[in-house]
Amino acid sequence: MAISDELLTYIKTELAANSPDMDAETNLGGVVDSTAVMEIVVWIEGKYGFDVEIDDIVPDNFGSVAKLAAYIETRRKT
Amino acid sequence: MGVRLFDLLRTSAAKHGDKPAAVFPGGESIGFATLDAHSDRVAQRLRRLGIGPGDRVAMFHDNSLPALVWFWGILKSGAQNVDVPTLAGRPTIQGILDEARPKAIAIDAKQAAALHAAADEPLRLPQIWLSTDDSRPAADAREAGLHTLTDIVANERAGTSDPGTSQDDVAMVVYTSGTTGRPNGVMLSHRNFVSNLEGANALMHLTDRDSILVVVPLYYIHGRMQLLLHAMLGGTVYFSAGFQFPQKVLLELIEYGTTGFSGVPYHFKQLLDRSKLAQTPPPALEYVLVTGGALAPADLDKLRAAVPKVGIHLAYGQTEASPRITWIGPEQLERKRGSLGIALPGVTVEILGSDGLPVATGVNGEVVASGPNIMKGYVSGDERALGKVDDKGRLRTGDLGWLDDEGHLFLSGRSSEMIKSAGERIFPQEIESVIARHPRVRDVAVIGLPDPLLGERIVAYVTLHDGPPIELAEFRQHCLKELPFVRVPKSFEVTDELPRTDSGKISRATLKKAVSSRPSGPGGTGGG
Repeated sequence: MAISDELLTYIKTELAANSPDMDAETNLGGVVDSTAVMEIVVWIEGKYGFDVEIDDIVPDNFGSVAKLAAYIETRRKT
Repeated sequence: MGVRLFDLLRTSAAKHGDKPAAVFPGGESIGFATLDAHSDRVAQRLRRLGIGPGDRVAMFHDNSLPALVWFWGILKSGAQNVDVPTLAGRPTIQGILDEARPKAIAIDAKQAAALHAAADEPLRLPQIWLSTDDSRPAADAREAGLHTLTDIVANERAGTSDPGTSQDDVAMVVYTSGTTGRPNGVMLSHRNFVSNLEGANALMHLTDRDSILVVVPLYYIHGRMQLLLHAMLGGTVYFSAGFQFPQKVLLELIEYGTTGFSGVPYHFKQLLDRSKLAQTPPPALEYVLVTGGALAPADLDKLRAAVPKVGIHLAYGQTEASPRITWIGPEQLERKRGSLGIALPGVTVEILGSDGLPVATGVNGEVVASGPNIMKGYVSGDERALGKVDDKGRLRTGDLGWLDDEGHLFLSGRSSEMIKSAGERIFPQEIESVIARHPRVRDVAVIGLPDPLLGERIVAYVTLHDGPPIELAEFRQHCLKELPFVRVPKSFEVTDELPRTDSGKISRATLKKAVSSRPSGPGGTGGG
């Protein structure tokens, strides 16, 4: 499964089942709160095996599923 | 007549006309003079619609520029602003609207669109809408009269006209959940707020050179207080894009160069743990104010170490006290660990024993406050019958604590049923009503239990109808379909029975007490 699909499934199932229309471009600002962002960080670290730096947890990387997928791709290569 | 809240804006507009009163994410801003002039026009429109003193207007809005113009316009019309928590869930919101009976509603396009799209029973709203053109499809579908800001600014005439409001008239209604099992509409007068703002600032000494970053919705009284205080000072309020990303909030503090920041303990804990606050402290930041609960001593030490040049202030209050009751500043904080400070000027704090009489210094009892900041009453009119206000007009906070020999307040227990989790204020009812819709649930009670990270952790206790075994995760999934993550209980407990009051209602207070006194389990730090 593509990273963005994995993320979408995870977020829609575990964090925001009340946002069924969400897609990869949806602004996560309106979907997840600070506690859900923490959950996403822990999930990414567990699943993709790298540490998410504090500097990285900003809207540029976490603003949407597409941005998150691009961020994970970049980090996995480094 | 005395100073009314809108007089604060008028005075600042005369003194600081071009200065930004508010700046929003993306750089949109509004100056004091423009905010004053636009809100005058809103007041005129409301008056022409027959809305004025004695009427209420609901505010169903995320933080935005129009929300500020509507807010001041409502006050200037002489009407009362009723803050509606947008995230509270439909039954709670409907309950607030049904009780407060607003004649009009200021609603943002996002809320209007959500109403328009909703498949189930729509909210019953007033038929006069203050909004933007984006809300037109929703307004048309409901045959509501839509009044847009663009239209009002273009077509209403300039100039002020005084609604004749007195200082003792109600300015705002703010809903909170006390110990009464239901949301209470707290009616706060102009005098309540003005006395509290002046009392707070007599201690903090902020001026027109101060500015603040706001990370909470304005429908929390904590947010309103910051807005009103800076209107009084002539200082600029910067609105954060939100608290999802603490590092982003730190970047905002640095970029905007605000002198102040205010939050609840959760916000500070997040900034300490999940931003580079210590490595890159905001250079212009001079003070922070912690409200809504005490910061754990270890976190206070961490905060002091992270931003050694920043003055740390703490305040304690309740919505019913407009909201501030006590305050402590940086000089005292080191010396008086655990103190929530001294009473604001004009406010009296007493500790009463179970016999209703004042106890001696150092003795634990109920915290009781009196002064010009104490609410006019509840919309429901039963604040005395409920024992929230006693026969001497004092506010019975329901919180437990003691005073030391210098008048410093120390708290030993909170009684409010309002759950404070992750910086949110949550009505237990809004979560219970969702859980109660699960077919297997017979009764439910939702309480907040202490949590080192979240402040309070939401825990749901359910009794079940007979049936096959059920996975508790199912309740979580059920809630996730209707509630934002932060409002979904962190744990569910099945129990045979829930404690009840003499009148047969489920008693969250008794439940909380019983759970908290257990040696382990969800009340302890390891459970849940």
